[in-house]
Amino acid sequence: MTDRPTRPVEYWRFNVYHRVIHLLVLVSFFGSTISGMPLKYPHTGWARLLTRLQGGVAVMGIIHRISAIIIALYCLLHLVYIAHYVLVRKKKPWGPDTPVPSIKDFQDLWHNFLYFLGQGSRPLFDRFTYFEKFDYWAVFWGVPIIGLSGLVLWFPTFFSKFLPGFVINIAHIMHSDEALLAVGFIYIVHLFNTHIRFEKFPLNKVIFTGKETEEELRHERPLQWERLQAEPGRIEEMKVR
Amino acid sequence: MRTKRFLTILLCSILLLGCTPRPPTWPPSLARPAETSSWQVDIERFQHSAHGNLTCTDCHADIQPGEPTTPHPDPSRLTTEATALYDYQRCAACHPYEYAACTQGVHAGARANPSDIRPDQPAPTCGHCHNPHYVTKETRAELLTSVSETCGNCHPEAVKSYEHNYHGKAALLGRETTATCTDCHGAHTVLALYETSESLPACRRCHPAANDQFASYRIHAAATLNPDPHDPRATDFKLFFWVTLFFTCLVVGVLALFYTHTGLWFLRSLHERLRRGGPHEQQPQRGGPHD
Repeated sequence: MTDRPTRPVEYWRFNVYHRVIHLLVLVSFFGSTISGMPLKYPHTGWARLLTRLQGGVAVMGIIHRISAIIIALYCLLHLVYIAHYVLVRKKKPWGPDTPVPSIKDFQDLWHNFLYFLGQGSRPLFDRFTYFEKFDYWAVFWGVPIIGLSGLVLWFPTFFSKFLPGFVINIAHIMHSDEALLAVGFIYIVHLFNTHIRFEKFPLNKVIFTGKETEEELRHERPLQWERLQAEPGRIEEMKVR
Repeated sequence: MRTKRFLTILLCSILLLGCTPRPPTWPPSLARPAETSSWQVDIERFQHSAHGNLTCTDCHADIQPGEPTTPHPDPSRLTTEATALYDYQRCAACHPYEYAACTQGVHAGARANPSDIRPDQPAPTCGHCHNPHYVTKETRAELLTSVSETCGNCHPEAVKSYEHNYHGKAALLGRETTATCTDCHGAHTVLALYETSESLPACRRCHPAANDQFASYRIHAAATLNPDPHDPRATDFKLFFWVTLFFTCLVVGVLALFYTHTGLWFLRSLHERLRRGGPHEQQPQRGGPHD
């Protein structure tokens, strides 16, 4: 072990649970968008092509529903995780170790805009930056809207037993517009912010391996690093062995 | 190194997208061969059609003696539109069931009740929907596009809303089990289906568990603040307008904020990179103005 070349010191950022959930989100998002978007723009050539590649509208319906089941599954797993986090592990459900927004996030957004325009320096981030928190909340608000409206569209005869017919129309508008927002956000903003930008290109592996190098941690999340300096036991615990 | 790889991937994706072959049936051909006059018959196509074995006078019973030869005894007839002139009741001789069904529907009703007839649009008879000279047997897939084209000639707004509905979208993408105009409104017994009691049996043909509330779903929906006040769907259409407006604002608002954010970020990191030649952005400084 001693003669091995020195490996950069790494710290755990995401546990197995986080990484599995992210994979489920990734697979189900890809599946639901390739099978759903052609229906939003059926007049276009690319929609025809995607439909043919997947084997027709009926097959796309199956892919879409399998993705929906995966989404429902990770949604449930996540709610169980939150309950476990708060009730069993007795952790604080807000603060810098959670994606709950704080006033500093809005200040960071403003200062980051100023920094982009050449006014001032980059804001110092903690464990989760404001744009990472927004990624989280985008899914958190998107899943109920898309999920519930999708259920109405999946079982229209069941839901019309206790809801008027125009609710199906509204479900369609919600499902379609919210999906466009999700596609426009994830495939451009999320992909750029976490993977495409120069420092991370072509893929930021942290969400897949769970490990972050010390250099990355100090550079990207200086406030978290500072916080950890005050807790020597915690930082030892986080170190990758 | 990374920039080079990035540019290569970008170039390849653009090439791949640009070279993607378009499916041969796309776009579905809207244009039938142009007919310069409704009196002009392409005899070649006619003989290959389902009616190819008939003679002119089998259908055109009102042709006056000697008219098939030129000159026509009454040339003024030739200035009238052919579909409005030929005797559609003759179709009943070979198609009694279709003819009988047609007399039950709203097309026949509009013809019988001239107050309903719009002066610019005579109520349709057989020939308005079927081209008797060139009629051929169509597959279900062909029918899905040709039916909405035919109906769209007089009901363009209905076809537009149909194509915004799942049924129409699936038809455009080639799903044969989806419903086209005639599947709900009937091929010959054309019904408007304004009343839920009328539309429910139509829904139940594919959705056996449908009830009244299900049948009040708006397939021909619109999102507008100024719907026709006599339309029973007017309040629904106003509601759809507000829901659509809310979600459009949400989508545009969120994307505008974050696209600006991402765009400016990209320009800033490009600037830092070119200036420093390194992969990293400016190191955050403790004690800076924002601490």
